[in-house]
Amino acid sequence: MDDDTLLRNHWALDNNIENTIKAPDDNNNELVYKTLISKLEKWQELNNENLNIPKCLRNSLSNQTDEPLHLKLPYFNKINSTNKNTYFKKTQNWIGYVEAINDQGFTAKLVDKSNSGTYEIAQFNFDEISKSDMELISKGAIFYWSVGFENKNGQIEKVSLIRFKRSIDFTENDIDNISDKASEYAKNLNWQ
Amino acid sequence: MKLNNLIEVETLSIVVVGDINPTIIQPFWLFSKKLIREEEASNASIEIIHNEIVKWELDWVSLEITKNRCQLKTNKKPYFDLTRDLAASIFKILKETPLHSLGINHIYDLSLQNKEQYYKFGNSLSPLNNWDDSLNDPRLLQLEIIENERKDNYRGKYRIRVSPADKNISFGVSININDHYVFQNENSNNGMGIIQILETKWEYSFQRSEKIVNNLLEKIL
Repeated sequence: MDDDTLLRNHWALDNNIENTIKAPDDNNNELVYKTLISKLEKWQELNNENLNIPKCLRNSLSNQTDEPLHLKLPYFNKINSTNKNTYFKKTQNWIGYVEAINDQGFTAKLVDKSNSGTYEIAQFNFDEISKSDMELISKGAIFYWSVGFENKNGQIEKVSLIRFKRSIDFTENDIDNISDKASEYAKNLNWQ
Repeated sequence: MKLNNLIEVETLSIVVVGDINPTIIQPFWLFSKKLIREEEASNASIEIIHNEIVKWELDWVSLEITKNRCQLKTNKKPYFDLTRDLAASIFKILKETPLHSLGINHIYDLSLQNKEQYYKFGNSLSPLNNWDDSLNDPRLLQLEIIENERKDNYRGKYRIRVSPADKNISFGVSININDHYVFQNENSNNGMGIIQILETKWEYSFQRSEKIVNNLLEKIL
């Protein structure tokens, strides 16, 4: 199995789908065909049109020759990521731990991610918290606070962003397994 | 630090390799596990749901999952830790999934100051006068350096790739660092191994990659 974990930027659907498709030469191209067929079938269904999708595209892709296949295709836009031109610059990031909650908001201990040796105490108003995160507020809850500049298609906006951590807790079984493993490691320690 | 002055976009990607069922990892499944918000699941931009490939994105993260690979990617720094939490939680739930390796990819897209600095960058990494006799105006296009044995006793590799950045970045250079871990027992349940690395090696992974890029920039520029 290929265990390559490099980021793959140029995925099948990142490219414009043109009217000429060349024979597959690697696994990625095979997936292009499979995803293309899926899109074509869906398009046919929605538009009640028959595109006469060639059989060779459905079956045995490996039997394709090197000759390019010319198809009459509807126009599919390149799948543009909505977020391609949105990114953050110069952010300051903290991890917050809720210490106390009152009617208006909560108090939290903030650890600066770029300087974890220090912490600050701050108060946050519930108005600053997204409605969907309100149920996550409890004593000891963890949240991430970032302040910085967001570049949205060239427009710079100053942003303050709070999001509560969402994660799956370990089960009792998981904790037992971890504890067993720790005991095993401890047995193998050679103290000198 | 030079990196802070030159960085234009910082991208994070977490890649897990194993035997994965792509169709499980869909927006409403994540919402049902309370890992994303309901409105995020409702408004997810879905490219494709197919038994061989699932590709969709939220405002802050994009996911691409095939039968042997799950990739989460974000270029929004405030969401880096959230992306980690999401990846760790997915594989906590799918703990029976046989997993093989984990990659934490740090991609730094830098904007160098001018064309002289841009040329100097490539020329310093790979002396171009070696090619003057054979090529007209040679330029470095891509360079890859690998650490074959990790120095932290984990199985895996550390790979650094330098290439031109996106066209939108002037005099742009992309430094892609692949922090790659291989698990001891391939094809067995290694979900806990992945979670352990994501939880305990996360900050170190960032510190190491930043240090490498800063050192490189200090030496070259």
